[in-house]
Amino acid sequence: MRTEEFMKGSRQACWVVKFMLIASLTTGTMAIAGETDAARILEKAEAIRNPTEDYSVDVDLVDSKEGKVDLRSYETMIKGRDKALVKFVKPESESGTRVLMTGPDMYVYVPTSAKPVRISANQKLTGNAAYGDVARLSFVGNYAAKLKSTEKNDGKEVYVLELSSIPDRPVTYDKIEYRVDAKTFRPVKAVYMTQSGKPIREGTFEDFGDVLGVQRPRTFMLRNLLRSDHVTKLKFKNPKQKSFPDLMFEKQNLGRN
Amino acid sequence: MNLDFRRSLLLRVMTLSVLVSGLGWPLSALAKVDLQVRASQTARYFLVNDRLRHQVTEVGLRQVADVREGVTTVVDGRLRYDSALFPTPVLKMRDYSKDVRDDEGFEAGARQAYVDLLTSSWAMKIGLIQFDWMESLSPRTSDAVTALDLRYGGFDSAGQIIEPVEAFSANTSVGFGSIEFMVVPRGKHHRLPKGENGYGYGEKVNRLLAGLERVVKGSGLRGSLDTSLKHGTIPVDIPNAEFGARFLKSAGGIDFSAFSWRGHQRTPALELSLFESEDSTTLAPAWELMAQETYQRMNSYGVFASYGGEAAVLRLFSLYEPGRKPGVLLDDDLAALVSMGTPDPSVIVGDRAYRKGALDDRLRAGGGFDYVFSRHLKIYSEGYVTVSRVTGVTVPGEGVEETYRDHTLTLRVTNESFSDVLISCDSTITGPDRSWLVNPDVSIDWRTGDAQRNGNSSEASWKLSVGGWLVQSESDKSALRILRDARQVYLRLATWM
Repeated sequence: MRTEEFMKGSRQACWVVKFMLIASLTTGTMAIAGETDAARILEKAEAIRNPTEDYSVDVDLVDSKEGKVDLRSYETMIKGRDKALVKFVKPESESGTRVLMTGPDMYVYVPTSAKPVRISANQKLTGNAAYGDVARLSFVGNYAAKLKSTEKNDGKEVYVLELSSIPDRPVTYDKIEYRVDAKTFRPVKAVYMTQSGKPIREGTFEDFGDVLGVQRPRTFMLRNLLRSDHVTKLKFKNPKQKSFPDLMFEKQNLGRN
Repeated sequence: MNLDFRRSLLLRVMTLSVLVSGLGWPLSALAKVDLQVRASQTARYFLVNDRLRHQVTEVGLRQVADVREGVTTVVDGRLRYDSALFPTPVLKMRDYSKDVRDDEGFEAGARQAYVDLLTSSWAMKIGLIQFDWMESLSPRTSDAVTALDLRYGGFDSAGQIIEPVEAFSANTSVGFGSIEFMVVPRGKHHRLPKGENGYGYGEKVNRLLAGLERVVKGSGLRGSLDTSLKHGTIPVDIPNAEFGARFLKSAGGIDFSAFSWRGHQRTPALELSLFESEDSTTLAPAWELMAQETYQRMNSYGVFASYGGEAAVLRLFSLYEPGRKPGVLLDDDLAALVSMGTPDPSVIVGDRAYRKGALDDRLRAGGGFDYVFSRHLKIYSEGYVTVSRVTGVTVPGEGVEETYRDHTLTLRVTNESFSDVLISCDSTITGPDRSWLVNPDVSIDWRTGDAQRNGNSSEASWKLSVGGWLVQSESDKSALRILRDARQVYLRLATWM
């Protein structure tokens, strides 16, 4: 190959490289901007769904399956974004049982066993709902958000966020498609999916009312998409803003009252 | 009758708790009071002699009162009555001794009664508490630091068999982990049957004494011979107070903990002595063969680690207990007679026998693996090896240092495929002289009364359980031999409200 041809070819290659670089930087910047937007939308929606401060809330769970209704009650205490303590209140036979979620670690204390025991992440599901649903753990910090699209829902514009779980976080589901009202940033709907993207549950946020000074959803309806007759309703009540000592979320104190 | 609450400190704690949480403190001043009542009826039929051995009615009461932010009182008591221990016109086959009836027939006492304090830097408990520092699944693995109620073979749940102790405990974060301290002024040993109740211990002692009695009589000693078992206890004084500390650290899905405990042996060592006295009526020589239960002052050290993954949990543990007393110790005179009488004293005593002064350094190491196949099917497993190194003098024999080991492997499978029905099966195999224990259990849950949606408290939970404890030991030396006559099936109905 002659030198000029090589130089010409090199210049062309340089332009191609420059073009690719600019293109990649542009898309990268757009992607970052998209992620920033998504993170901002998620942050706002989660600030409505959950108080950002430490708080406690009572949860009544009504699980309907094949016409049979199961009723349960819990007390939950949430500290920050990755610590939750779920106390079983009803049924009476399970009263005193507690589940502690702290980061990726999960423990259960059953009064008959008299000591806390580590459990695997797959034991986080209790029927249709998960302890994470009961504790209403925040998606912020536990999922990476991406703005997928915007769409109309009941005549309102909603953002569709794609949430992917961050490794080693206390999450229940691998992926979530989270719909947020574009005007009010209220959470509208969450479709929970497996790692492969298969939808398994759909949750809707309902009954907005004053909760610790902000209009928040007080009911969460969870439908099993694999079994249409399985619906779980979680009603959140008596929210209280509290400051919990870190020791309350230590494994050795799980059996305390 | 066993009225535990006669004990003064417990009485004081319970009184304080009740006063604070119910009577002395105006109810309106309490943030919250939860009261739970539970009742159960359990029938146990022994398969060996085909008879009803237990018909236990139990009523429990648990009150948790939030006195103020960070201060909670807990009182948990139970009342038990075993009608199968007492003769009735219909069922006349009772054959229990008075000791057993007195010890097990009726029981009323507190299982827990403590004040719980939680501040920003310390979490504390004071009162009568149940604790278990062994991070293993089986409560029977906890027998080093935690005293257990083994009158019925230790088959029940941990909450039922862990003996409560008067204690003060405190834990705090220290930046790189947490540290917990505990003081138990009056340590407890395992609670064993007071007489022969079918669960082996009484039979084991009687067999030991009868065997030695034969040897002593066969040696040509003149005069009468009495045998007796003297129940021992851990001395209650300041030098015998028990205390310990443990360190805990959790990070990245891994738990680590280590403890050191200054306490006592929980299982009694039987020290056998032969005394000569004179019968005052006949002036003939009289002998007494006495088995004395003793509990050695000793240290225990434990190290644990666990890891939790997506579907699995892995646990590792080790426990070192230097300076235990071996199970059977003979004084010099008795050892000499036994040595003359038989080349293998284990035929008589049913165990290894040593002269007094022998010590056993015991190391137990093992692990567990749990796996969740689905929401319906789960397995839990645990296995450990115990290595004992005994230094002392065997009977018969000279000064020795011998090592022996045994192992235990437990597998538990649970299935929840059917709504409200839990099927489980525990299987335990011990070695080297193989014995096994299987506990199949089927439980069904249901609820009655109004739902809790409107805060109605008329709801009750019910559970009906059917199962059995099947024990097989192929050798007199196997670990579960003392339980083999306690093979049983049970039926239990429990309610909570």
